[in-house]
Amino acid sequence: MSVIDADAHVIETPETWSYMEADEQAFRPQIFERAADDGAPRHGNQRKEYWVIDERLLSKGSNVGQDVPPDSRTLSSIRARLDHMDEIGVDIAVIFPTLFLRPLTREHDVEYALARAYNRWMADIWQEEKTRLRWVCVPPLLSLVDTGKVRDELVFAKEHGACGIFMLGGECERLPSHRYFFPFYEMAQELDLAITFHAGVNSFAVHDAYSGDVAMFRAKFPVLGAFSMLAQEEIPARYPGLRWAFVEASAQWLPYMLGEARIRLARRGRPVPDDILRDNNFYVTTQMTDDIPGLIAEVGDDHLLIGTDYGHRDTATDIHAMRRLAEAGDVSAASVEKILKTNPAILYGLD
Amino acid sequence: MTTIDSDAHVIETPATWAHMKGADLIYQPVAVSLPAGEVMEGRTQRQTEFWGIDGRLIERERNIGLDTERGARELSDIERRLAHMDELTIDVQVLYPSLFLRPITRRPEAELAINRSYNRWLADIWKAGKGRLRWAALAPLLSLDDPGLVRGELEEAKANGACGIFMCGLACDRQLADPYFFPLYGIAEELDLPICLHAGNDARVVHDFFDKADGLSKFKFPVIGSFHALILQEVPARFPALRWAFVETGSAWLPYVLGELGRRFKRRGRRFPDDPMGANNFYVACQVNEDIEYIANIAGRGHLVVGTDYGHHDTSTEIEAMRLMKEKSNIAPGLIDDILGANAVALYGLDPQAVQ
Repeated sequence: MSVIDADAHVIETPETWSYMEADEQAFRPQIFERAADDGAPRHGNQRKEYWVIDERLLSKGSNVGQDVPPDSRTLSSIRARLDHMDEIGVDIAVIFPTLFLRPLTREHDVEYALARAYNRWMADIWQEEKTRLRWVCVPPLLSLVDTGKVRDELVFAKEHGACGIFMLGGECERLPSHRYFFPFYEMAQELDLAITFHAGVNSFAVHDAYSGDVAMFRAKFPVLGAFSMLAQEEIPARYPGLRWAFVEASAQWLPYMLGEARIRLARRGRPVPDDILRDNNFYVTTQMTDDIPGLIAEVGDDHLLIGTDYGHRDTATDIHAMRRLAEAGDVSAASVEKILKTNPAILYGLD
Repeated sequence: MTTIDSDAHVIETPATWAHMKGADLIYQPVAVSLPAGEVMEGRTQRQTEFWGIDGRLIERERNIGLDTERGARELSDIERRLAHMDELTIDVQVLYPSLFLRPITRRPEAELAINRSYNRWLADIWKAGKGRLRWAALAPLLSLDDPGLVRGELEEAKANGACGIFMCGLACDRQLADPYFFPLYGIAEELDLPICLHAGNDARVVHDFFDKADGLSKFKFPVIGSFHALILQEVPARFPALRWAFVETGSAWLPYVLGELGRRFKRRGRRFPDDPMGANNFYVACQVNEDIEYIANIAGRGHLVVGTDYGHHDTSTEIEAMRLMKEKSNIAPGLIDDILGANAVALYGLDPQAVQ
């Protein structure tokens, strides 16, 4: 079996938006540069370049891993990426976006144009390497009133190498347990595409309320919240064939969240599953900084994954995570096999 | 051994607002209800009684612990409350509000009037409580542009039994690491009153976004997020004598959040303290269902307290928490005594002799 990096990234470039249609050009993201002589103070993490989307300024390059070759992280050289994957012991990388980790627009047509372009860009990348570069597609969730349109996009993505669907803990200013998403979950189940909640939030309300926060509330807690709400509201039971992932928030929170879920289900008089992860088809990415032996003792080893966060530079990034787990010594070989190979293969439906 | 319930509640009643006078009376909360048999549109739980405050409707009967007698939980019968504390083997309770766990008003004058009345009500309860009913005061946070006013309110609270200052995980639509609150923290430090972050959310946008979510995202994450933000932004270092409490969120998240903090400090080239809880004067209320020894090994045994959540009925409520803690057999000697007694005494600045 292959070693699967369950959380790798690509950094979007102007090439990404070259797939926009002629009538979508007004929505095309543009790069703005900060003037060197603007006289305003420069803060530690402030960038020189910004994306401008829907008249909003978004920092560009604030979370870019400098420990990987530039043409590899942007996938402008697929050869470079594959060579680097060989070097770090990764057979298959499941690729997540970067720009989409925050709210970009409230306009359904802008979002559709962005998602459609990103998905076609990734489809072309996959055409060049169909086995080792898999990806999660970006769904145009603001267009869900037209389920056929969303479905067409997911079908296209699936036919072009997508093995999951990207979501954040808050989408369309709604919680993931909102009925608005039920037709979408139905589609994901039918298409056998996992729903992957990645660190980040797509709610301007929450994002802006925590504008000074480093990432905990804006990035990690929405993932934990999605886990909690789905489990407590028994949403997965409606879609028994659907698999769910919670990505790039570590797994060290599992004992806390599982304890809370058990208490809350019991309080509602609902049955409390013996194994909440198994019964809900939940998968969680862990990190080498987690107490992995402790986690396995608590939740077992059938629902943990691990990723490198390739291309980024944050508290979840560990470019050598796969190799370090294999060599750690405090996790059994059987568990390592599951975390690196078996579990991500099941989650992403890989052969 | 002294047993201190570090998180108990009182349920507000019309008596809470009886201290309002003169111009303040226009802000007095009004009790409103639906006609019998009617259910409010869009609510999944039966809810008929509400407070009307500054134009907002706020649920009144939600999260009420019916395993306590009404007079005891509303403190209209203080003797009954003390007798129940005896039954539960509790020497001292630290009382937190119930209504104020969510956004109440955005008008400073309304907040001042409402908070002042609450504090006077609690002062009267303390006077009748034989030293066993201590409380966390409400600061008029929207009036922080007038630190003298805030200080006066807190001085009076302290003189009348307050042993902490109540805050939600978000307040005044701001994060608690916001410099807006630094004058409050300075006052709290001078008055030797800990800042007590209780599960709750006083940021209207965030609160309303999570309106249909469970209490975890709406009320607990703000507190855990503040724990993270305060340490990361090194706010406690500005107020080295100030103590901080994180209450009614459990404590099993500590290994996760301390791990995240360690990594963020490292990324910034800063040294993360070996004892982050001690270095920041932080205390966290644990729950009996948690692996307390494991958590204490990570967070330090001197920084956990425990509460019953008396008067409420939510995932943190355990009316028998004190007795259950004492019965835990598989825990290092002395750890439970510290959690029930010494740690809470240190956090709330209680007189060890007086609480015997």
